[in-house]
Amino acid sequence: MKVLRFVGEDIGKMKYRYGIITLQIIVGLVLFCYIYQVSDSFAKTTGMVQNRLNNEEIYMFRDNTSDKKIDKLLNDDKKLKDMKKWYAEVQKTVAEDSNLQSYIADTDSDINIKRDEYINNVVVSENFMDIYQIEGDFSKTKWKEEFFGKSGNAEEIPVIVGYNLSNKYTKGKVFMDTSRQKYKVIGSLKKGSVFVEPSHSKKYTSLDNCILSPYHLIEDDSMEYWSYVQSVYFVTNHPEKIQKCIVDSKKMGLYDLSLLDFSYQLQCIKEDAQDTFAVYGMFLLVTVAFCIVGIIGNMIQFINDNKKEFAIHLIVGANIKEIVGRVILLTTIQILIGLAVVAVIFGVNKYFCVTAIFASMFMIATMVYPILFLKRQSIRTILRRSYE
Amino acid sequence: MIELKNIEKIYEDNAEKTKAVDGISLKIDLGEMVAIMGPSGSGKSTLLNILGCLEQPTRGQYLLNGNDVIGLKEKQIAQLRNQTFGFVVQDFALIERYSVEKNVMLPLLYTKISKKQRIEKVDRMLELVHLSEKKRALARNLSGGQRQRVAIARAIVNDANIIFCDEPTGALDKKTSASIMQMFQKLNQMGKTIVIVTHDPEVAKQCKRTIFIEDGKIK
Ligand SMILES: Nc1ncnc2c1ncn2[C@@H]1O[C@H](COP(=O)(O)OP(=O)(O)OP(=O)(O)O)[C@@H](O)[C@H]1O
Ligand SMILES: [Mg+2]
Repeated sequence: MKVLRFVGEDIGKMKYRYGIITLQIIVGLVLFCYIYQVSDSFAKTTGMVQNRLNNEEIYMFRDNTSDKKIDKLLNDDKKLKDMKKWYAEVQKTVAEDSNLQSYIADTDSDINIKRDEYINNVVVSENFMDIYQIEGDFSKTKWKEEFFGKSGNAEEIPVIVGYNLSNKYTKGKVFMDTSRQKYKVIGSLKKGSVFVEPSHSKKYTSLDNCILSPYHLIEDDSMEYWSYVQSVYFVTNHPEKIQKCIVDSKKMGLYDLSLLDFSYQLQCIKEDAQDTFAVYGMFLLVTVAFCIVGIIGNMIQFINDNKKEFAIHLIVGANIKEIVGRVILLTTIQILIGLAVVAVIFGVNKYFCVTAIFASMFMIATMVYPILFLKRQSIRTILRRSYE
Repeated sequence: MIELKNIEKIYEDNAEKTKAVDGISLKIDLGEMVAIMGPSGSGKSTLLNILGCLEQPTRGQYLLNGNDVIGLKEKQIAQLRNQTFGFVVQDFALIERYSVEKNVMLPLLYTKISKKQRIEKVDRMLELVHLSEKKRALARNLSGGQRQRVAIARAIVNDANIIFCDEPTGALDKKTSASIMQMFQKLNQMGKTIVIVTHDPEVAKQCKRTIFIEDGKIK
């Protein structure tokens, strides 16, 4: 009790400095928690993909067909039949090989909802979610049916919205684009969902501001095959089988294709993720240093300013523990305030707990100085030093 | 009775050793008024601080009424300083931003005495040292003599029986010194044991016994 009373006095005596340092600690702890949370979710979302990219490569077709030939391919009914055949063969090749997957993630068809207002639309095939381990507020089995159950020209296209759009586009909402096509929101994605798009970007692409809509190939439309050829991705470490499809395509007089490999881009993506982690790590270190300097500086200053007072207290009957307690309590209060703010902002969750553990470890470390200083010296020395 | 047996105090400062007290044995009866004199650096303050448990001796034995003091726990020693010993030092050692009243009350904040009793006790002490009208004044605004009287009131407010004074008149003029000494006389008549370290023969003269120290030894 009496220690509390003196601590109250100490705070009152140096309220501005104490306030500023408390603020510093609040900012430090909030930053710590925030960075930890962001880097942890980044680690989670990229971890799986990163793993995958370590073992497999992503490929695409490069279309080298001449314009004249394309014209023919798009308008000749016989060619459409061959194309269907070839497409079926590609599907079969993929289905037969467990080390080969193909998916569609087409980012070139944004939805125009108002004049000059677009939403990034990613048209995805059924296995896209599995390949990138994407999760959301839907059950895996149910959404597939809802998402892909309807055909490509359904009246309402089912969509899944990215995290940042989920407040505006709530589940069940139906909206329309400028060409009066209706979309129905059937769910939303977890925050921080990502995929890679090596043909467009050397970084992870966030899905937070995107909408996912289902990819359907309309069988009797030769345009559809052309866009398929241009947007399909393959994931494998044995591209030979796709090479064979390429050869077949040429033989059948269809598209002239070659295989585009993205190992350079993927390397960039991997390194970018590592850089991002390094940056997070740096930030964490800086906030930790920021906190430590704040608290230790505060403590040393406080002890120096109060040596004489402590000595007087000791002379009239305080014991060392009470004085050490007084110094430590000052810091404890600041840290508790900081943690309270963290709890209010982030809630009491895993991240809060880690921050609290960090804060208490750090507090124990900062106690070393006052304990050593006060315990090592006789009262007389403390008193005498206070005049130095 | 206070009894020291073969007390030694060695300071180690950057590997340099100083023997401040070199095998002192002495006895002081309760109710006595004793002066300690000696040249500067002879170890007087060190001896007084050991007596008052502000410092631990390096070697030797310290008995208070027959009980060993050196082996006590920190908490019990703090209690001795709180309840049995009072200190008055040359530079007064007051908390400058506190009022006179609060300075005197400080030892009582480390006891379980009720607030009402605390205030009563402080009032009584301030009366004893003739400072009642300065009760609310801040310590930093007092004169040297007044400060020393606050220090004395603080030393005895918790009914300390033994008062240790390190050059209590060192910073005061003759007249003020005399009045402070009168106060110690009065306390001694009330039965308190008083040990005064001093350079001033006038002060020593008023004590019943003087212990001379040189180079950490009794002469
Ligand atoms: N904390 C300390 N560390 C190292 N040496 C010390 C310490 N305190 C005292 N000394 C040394 O011990 C010796 C005795 O000091 P002390 O203060 O007891 O002398 P004193 O008799 O009180 O002197 P004065 O009359 O000047 O007050 C001195 O040589 C002093 O330098
Ligand atoms: Mg001295």
